[in-house]
Amino acid sequence: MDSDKEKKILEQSKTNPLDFEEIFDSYYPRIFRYILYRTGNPDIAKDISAETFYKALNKINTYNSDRGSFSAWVYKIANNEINYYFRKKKYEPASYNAAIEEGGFAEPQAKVDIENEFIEVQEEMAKNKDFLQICEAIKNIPQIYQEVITLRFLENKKISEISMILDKKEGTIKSILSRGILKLKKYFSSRKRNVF
Amino acid sequence: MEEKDIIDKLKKARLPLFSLKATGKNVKKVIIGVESKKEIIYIPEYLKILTAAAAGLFFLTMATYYVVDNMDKGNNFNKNGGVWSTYSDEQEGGNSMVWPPPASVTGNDFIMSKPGFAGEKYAVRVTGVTGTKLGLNYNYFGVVNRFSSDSSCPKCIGVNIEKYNGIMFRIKGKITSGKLYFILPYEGSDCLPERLTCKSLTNYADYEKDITEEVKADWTMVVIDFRKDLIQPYWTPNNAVVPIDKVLENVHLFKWQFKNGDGQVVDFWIDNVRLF
Repeated sequence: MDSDKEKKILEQSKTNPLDFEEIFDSYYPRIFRYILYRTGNPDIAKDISAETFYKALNKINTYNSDRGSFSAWVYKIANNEINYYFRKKKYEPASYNAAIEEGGFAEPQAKVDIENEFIEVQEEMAKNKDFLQICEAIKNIPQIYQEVITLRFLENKKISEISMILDKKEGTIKSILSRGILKLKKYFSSRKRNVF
Repeated sequence: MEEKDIIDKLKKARLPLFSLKATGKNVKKVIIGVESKKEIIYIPEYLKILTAAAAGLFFLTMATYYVVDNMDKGNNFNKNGGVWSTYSDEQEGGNSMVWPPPASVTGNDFIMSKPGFAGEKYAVRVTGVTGTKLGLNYNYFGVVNRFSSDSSCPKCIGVNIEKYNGIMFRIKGKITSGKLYFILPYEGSDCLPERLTCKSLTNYADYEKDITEEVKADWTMVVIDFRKDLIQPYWTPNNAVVPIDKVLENVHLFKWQFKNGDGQVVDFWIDNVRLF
């Protein structure tokens, strides 16, 4: 979706939530994957993604494209939720669950499809040994390095966008990035067996 | 392990983007469903401020967004009383077929279909097959929406919509070959009673946009900027070239026209037509 079209749809979403669908379809897989990188857990990634998008649509009126891209805005919401999960060591998508209760929505016929999707996610995770090793390594470095390294190298975000997502200066991001790589280097060097 | 090896390993650790259609569908249904019920929350901040500050300015701002039709009533008229109807090349001697049947053939009203976008209420659904009798570009069928009750024959009165930037609508369907165009016709005030239409001022060389690629199995939103996205066809005669703003000053109708199919059934749905 080009940025002009995205801006128009976002503006329309402020008055008509139905218009948010295309934005959701475009960002949901990316946000889910980012959360999966950070947590290594598809179930948690599903819950945090749902909460992230609930909050994004609920607060869409506060989004201002002059202050940054929607992408950075929605990653920032996801990041806050991930941090909450790490602080509490558990996660409950509270607003999203309340919305289910409020609306009485359920679609049990899609349950098999959802299970199949999660099997696919788990298979992809299991067959990528680099992913498994990086996931383990990243858990062993402080959170700020996890965020920056994941956004830069796994999500392939530019420094400028990471700076917007994390509300830090670009110079700071670069510095965190290089220190984070050193921490990963140290982690892998400290392991007795060869991980490659 | 060197730093570059770490970076290589990070890049190799990337996972594909998972489609997650079923998972996403459920989430979407919940969040959009709940938020749709809270219309009051979605009054934009700037409108609230304007309401308090100056009612006149408020209405001026509101006027830049206009619902042509959301098909909620399920009848054959848009919000402005403009009628929906289908047409085909049959009047030119062609053998294309379209459903719902053109009013000129049956005398019947256009039939709205269920369900509309997001499973709600109604939408415009058109199915048909282009014929083979008239040659490339001349086999066609489509659907029109007259902008208002007065823009049909015999009045043929156009409406000035130049303050709007464009039109947006939802679409879905199946098109395996051929092209679907959104067309902004330019008509005059003369009624052609034998064809139940107003006279074209461009000999049908109207501003258009190919929207075939936007038609998918799921609903997508088409956003057309009148001034950036619409062009007159390459075969437009010199005497039919007209500035887009002149067309926007005198709009009678919108058209969705399919042509050049290969005998396959074409099916497309339209919902939530709005000017912005």
